[in-house]
Parts: sequence; structure tokens; C-alpha cells
Amino acid sequence: MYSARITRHSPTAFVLLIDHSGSMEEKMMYGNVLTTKAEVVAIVTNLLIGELINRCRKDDGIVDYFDIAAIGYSGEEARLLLGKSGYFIKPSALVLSDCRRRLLTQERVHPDGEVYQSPVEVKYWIEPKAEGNTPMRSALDMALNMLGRWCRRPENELSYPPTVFNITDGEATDGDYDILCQLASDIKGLGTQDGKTLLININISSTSSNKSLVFPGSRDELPGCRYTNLLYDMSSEMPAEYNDSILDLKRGSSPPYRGMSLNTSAGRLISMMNIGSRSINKLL
Amino acid sequence: MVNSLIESVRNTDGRFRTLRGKIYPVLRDGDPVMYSGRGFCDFSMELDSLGVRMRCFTGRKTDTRARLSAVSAFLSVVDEPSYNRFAYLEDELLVFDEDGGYSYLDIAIEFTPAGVPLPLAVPGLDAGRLGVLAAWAANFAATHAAHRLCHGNLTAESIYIDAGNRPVLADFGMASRGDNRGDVAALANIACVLCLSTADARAVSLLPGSADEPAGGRLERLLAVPLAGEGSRVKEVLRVSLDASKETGKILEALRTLPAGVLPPDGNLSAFLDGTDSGPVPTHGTEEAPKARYKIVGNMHDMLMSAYDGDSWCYIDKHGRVAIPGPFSDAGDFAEGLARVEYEGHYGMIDREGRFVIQPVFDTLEIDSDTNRIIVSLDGEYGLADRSGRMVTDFRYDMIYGSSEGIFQVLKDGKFGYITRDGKMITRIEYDETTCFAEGRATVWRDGRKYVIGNDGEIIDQIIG
Repeated sequence: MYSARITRHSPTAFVLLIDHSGSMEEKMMYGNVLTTKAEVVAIVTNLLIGELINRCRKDDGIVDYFDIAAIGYSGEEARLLLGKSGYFIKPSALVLSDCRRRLLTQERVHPDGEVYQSPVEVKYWIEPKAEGNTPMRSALDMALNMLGRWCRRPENELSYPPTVFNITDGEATDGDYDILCQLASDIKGLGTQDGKTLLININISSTSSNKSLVFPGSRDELPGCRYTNLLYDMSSEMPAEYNDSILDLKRGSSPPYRGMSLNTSAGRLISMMNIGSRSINKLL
Repeated sequence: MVNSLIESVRNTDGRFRTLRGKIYPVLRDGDPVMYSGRGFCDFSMELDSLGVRMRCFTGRKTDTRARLSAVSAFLSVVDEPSYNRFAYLEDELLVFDEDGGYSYLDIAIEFTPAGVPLPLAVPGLDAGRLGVLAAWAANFAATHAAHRLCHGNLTAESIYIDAGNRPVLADFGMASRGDNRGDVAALANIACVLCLSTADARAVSLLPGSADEPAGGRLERLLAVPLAGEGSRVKEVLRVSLDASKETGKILEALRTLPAGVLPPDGNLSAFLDGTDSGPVPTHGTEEAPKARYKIVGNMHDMLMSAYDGDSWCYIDKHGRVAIPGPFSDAGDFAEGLARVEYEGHYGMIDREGRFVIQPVFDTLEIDSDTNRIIVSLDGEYGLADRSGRMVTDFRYDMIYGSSEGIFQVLKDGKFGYITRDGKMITRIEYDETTCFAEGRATVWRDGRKYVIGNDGEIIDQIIG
């Protein structure tokens, strides 16, 4: 399980569900820069897409190891953020698409303590956005639809299972606990012969004062509110193959771990997504 | 991870302790030219306008080194036939992870071959004559092999020589292994000689000293500068370059005045150097045997030829000077810088300096030039190795025959089979008899039946009768 080779004939799928509601306008820290949550999420998701593309680069071009989709949700609807037709887009098509580039300055600390400013170019396939309500149900519905088709395709039968990241800062405005859990359960029920779809829910926070939580080992670790219980129930139980990576990030509880995080900082957001996309390490 | 590697390649401060100059990925349409493979990630890069390819091993440092020290384990990770052209660097690449952590990853650099023409403008010389000059300089540099420029951690007194017509010595931290040391040294020295021969003011101006000082004088002054440690090798280069600069005046005069039709394209200008007995040797062709003292003289290859004096073999140059004394019981011709020799009862391979690239430990050694592999044996068992001596297979066969279309026939326990140049079994070793591959097919016999197989080992047809 969760061991299938990722090839151009058996790609795996990544789906990004991105909260574009108005509350994403609130500020949070990215490194030593204060910016909006929407901007932070855009940077991190675009870096992930860039990483996926770079993993596909070969001497003679791009090999399409992945099917990628991004769904933004705000106002009253969810919408596709990548590609003009179909649900998934290939890395080779992303490379050809026009997108904004921005030079970020990352602050690095050398092992000897020296602080160093490192310019990093980020391509923006996904633009930051923050307006309106949080129609998470619509986004999950769209994800369920597209993943259902993807998993039923014969060429994906043996593929590494899809991974879904749902990045949000708050509660859905278009669905209640039962509806959201049912949709999440339906998504997690999809998969390939190599395993079920992984649904990882990431709640990002604008303040560092709230205690953060990543990959809880049980409900006992949760603060005990309805929202956190919802995220817990929506999230996948992470396969054992991910345990070592998770343990590098957290200590103090034993597996199995839930694919969720609470009050996630920018750094933890990156770590969550690195862990969630560890399948791509097979290509390195 | 790859994003972090790109960032590290772009930002060299603190990453490479001995690499100087600008290092950045070559971009195509705004994206880095790179690819990742099993265990490594390659970038096309520019270092002071010199095109190189950097290979970053994506495993943790200790794990990578452990892998590299175990040949078969390494080859199972890096299935890359061009590995021998990479120089494994002593310093690592410091890579920052997106979440703030960091790793040290091993790196290696592939250099452009010494045959790459150096763009250089010399007054009074057109492209054809410039090519002759370059060939002469290449010969000259190659014959003065003592100045191998493998160094690291040079001081500020070091000189940069690059392919962009500036005397910027490649300040690469070279590891003790790597087959391309000769390439780097030759390239650096060609550039050095050419730059000095042109009296290029721009090039010379980068040497420490006053703008009015002649290049030769500047070099002499530099030779007097005490350079510690590895810097002594730089001084060797400088000394050679000074010797070269004395000849280049005559060379340039010949190149400027002689009709194009008499200029030898291989750079053998010795005939035009009056009173010069240190001229270059040609790169190709046989030469008349000047050696009455030798009973047998081989063919001239890579500027050296084997010679047998009735007792043992050695290698001599065009003028009959002993270049590699041996003594060898057997000596093959040089090809691509290596020659097979028998030494004290065992076979190995030497480079043009007479150093054993493959130690003389084998009972037999045959070069399969089509596949660039070496068939070796020990105690009656045969195996396949690459040109650096790394075993591609174990010693497990009773015989390995020369390849055809990249495929070797092997014999074990009375049965035949086929393997690739990488040791991968194409067929089981189960045939009573086999033939070579021709146009993708071979004929095999098993249990009295005759078959035709393809180069994937699959039976295409059974031949009746």
C-alpha cells in the first residue's frame, strides 16, 4: 500500500482546495514578513506546484508524473484555479502557461549563525484572494466529482493514491458537520489499488498565540471544540509509510496520525505539505 | 527539495568554499535547465562563463558517501554511464529546506571536454589559423603533464583562466577521484598558453602587477611569490606557461606569415620552430620509428607509442624519449587516454602519465571499445567493469565475450546467455549455444531447438529444421 511507482503512465494526483474567503485577508507572518494569510497560502501552494514541476524536469523535457488541480472557494461557489478545461492539468501544460513571477527574499541562517538573505523566485499560477464566505462544501463536492473520475480511469488503477490538501482558516458557510463529514468520507473512500485518497485538512492561523497542533495521534490532543473535531473527522488517517516524516515534525504521540493541523504557521504549513507530498520523493 | 537546490545553486555565498566566480543555473525560457533522477539532480550551470553540469546527490551526506564507496550499491542508485566524467567535489552544497532546516549534500561537477574550442580573438589570425594555434597549444599542454592542476583552497594569489579569454584558473575543489582531471588541467593550461601567446592586454591585466609590465616578466615575478600548499602546483602551471610564452612568438609569426595551405591542422608546428627541440607531438597517426634500440614499436596513439626493447615494454613519444618507463610485460595502444598493460604478471590500465587507473590485479583484461567496458577475470571467473575499474558485475561468469550491438554473450556452467553493458540479464543463462546480435536479433539453441531472439531476450521465432 502507498508504494506504487509514479511514472508518466501511472501518475499520481494532487488536489489543492484553497480557502479564498474574506477572513484570509488577516495578517500572519511569513518568515520575518507580515503579510496576509491569502498571500502566504498562495506562496506555499505555488512553491509546491513549482516543486512538482521541477521533479518532472528531465534532460529532454517535462515528464508528466502528476495530475494537478487547484480549487478556490469563496463567496457562493468553488472554481478551478488551474487550466482552462478539464479538472486536472499536467506539469507540461503548467510550464507553458503564463504566470506572474515574484522575487521573494527568504532569510536563511547558516549553521555558523550568519544570517543570509536569499532571493527566491516564485511563479504565481495561483493568485491570492480573500473575499466573501467560505463555501467549503462546494469545493469538496467538486473535488469528489473530479477525483471520482480520475480514480475510475483504467490508467490510474494502479497509481499512487491521490492527495488532497484543504487549506482553510475557518468554518464552512455552506454545509454543516454531517454534510462535510459525509463528503470527506466519500473522498477518502475513493482511491486506487494502491490505497485510498488522503485528505489533509490544514487550518491556518493569523496569530502565534494560539497553540498549534499537527498530525494528532488521537482526539485527546484536540482542544475539544466542534470545529477541531470536524477537521479531525474529515481528515485521513495517515498511512504508516508517513510516520517517519511525521515524527521528524512532532514528538510526543504515537501513530496512527490524522492528516490535519490546527493554528498552522507558515513554516508548519510548508512542513505539512512536504509531508503530504512525500510520494514525490520517489522521483529524486 | 529541488526548489531548495535551485536556490542554493543561484546563491553561492557560503555554499561552495572553494568554487569562485558566479554560479547560477542556466535558464531556458526562465526555468532552470535541470533534471532529477534516482539519487541525484543535475543542473546546467555557468561558472565564470564556463559551462558545467553540477550533480547534486539528494541523499544525506553520510549515506551518499557510503553508497559511493560501494560500487555495486552506487550503481544501483545512479544508473548513469557518464558518471566517470564527473569530478566529485570535496565540498558539499548547503541546501536550506523550505521549513528552515538544512542539509549538506554531496556534489560533483562535469566539465566540458578539453576538445571544446576556446573562443579567442588573436590579431592577424583568422579562424583557421586560430584553430591551428589551439591545436598546437593543446598538444603543448598535453605533453607537459606534470602540471596537473588539481587543487583546492587556493589563496588569493591564484589566477583565473576560463574559456572566455580571461586568465581565470578554474578554482574547483577537485577530489582525488575523477577521470576528468586531465580535461580540467588541459583546458586550464590551453587557456593559459593561449592567453599568454596573444599578449592579450585584457588577459594580462588580470595578472597581479603593473599594466606596463610584460606578461613574461609578470609571470616570473609571480613565480617568486611563495604559494603555500596547493599553490605550488599553480607555480608549475605558471612555469610551463612561461616556457610556452617564449615559443609562442615564433608560433604566431609562423601562423601570420605562412600560407594557409602549409599549416598543419593538427598543430604540429615543430618544423617551423627553428632550433626548438621541445615542439609538440601530433595527436594522430603513426610516426616513423625513430628507435633503433626497440625491437617492436606500436602505433602512435594519444601521442605515445608502446615500444619493446627485447626485455620489456615501455611508452615513448615521437622523439623516442621514454615517457612511461614501465617495465611492462605487455603494453597495448593508448585509446582515450588509457592503455592496457601487464605488470608483474597481472593486467591493469594506465593513463598517459603512467599512473594506474585500474590497478594491475586482473588475470586478463580486454577492452570492449563498443561499450566502453572492460572484461576482466580473476581466478578463472569473469566480470565486467567500467573504465575506471568499478565492477559492473561480480566475477560470476566462466567467460564474457566481446559485445555486439551493446550486448555481451556470457558463459556459465556450460550454458550461454546475454547481458547488457550494465550487467543486466537479458536472458537466462540457459542456452546450449548462442550467436552475436545483428540488427537486433540473435540465434540461440536450447534442447535441440533453434530460436531467434530479440535484444530484449524475447523469442521472436522458432526455426524448424
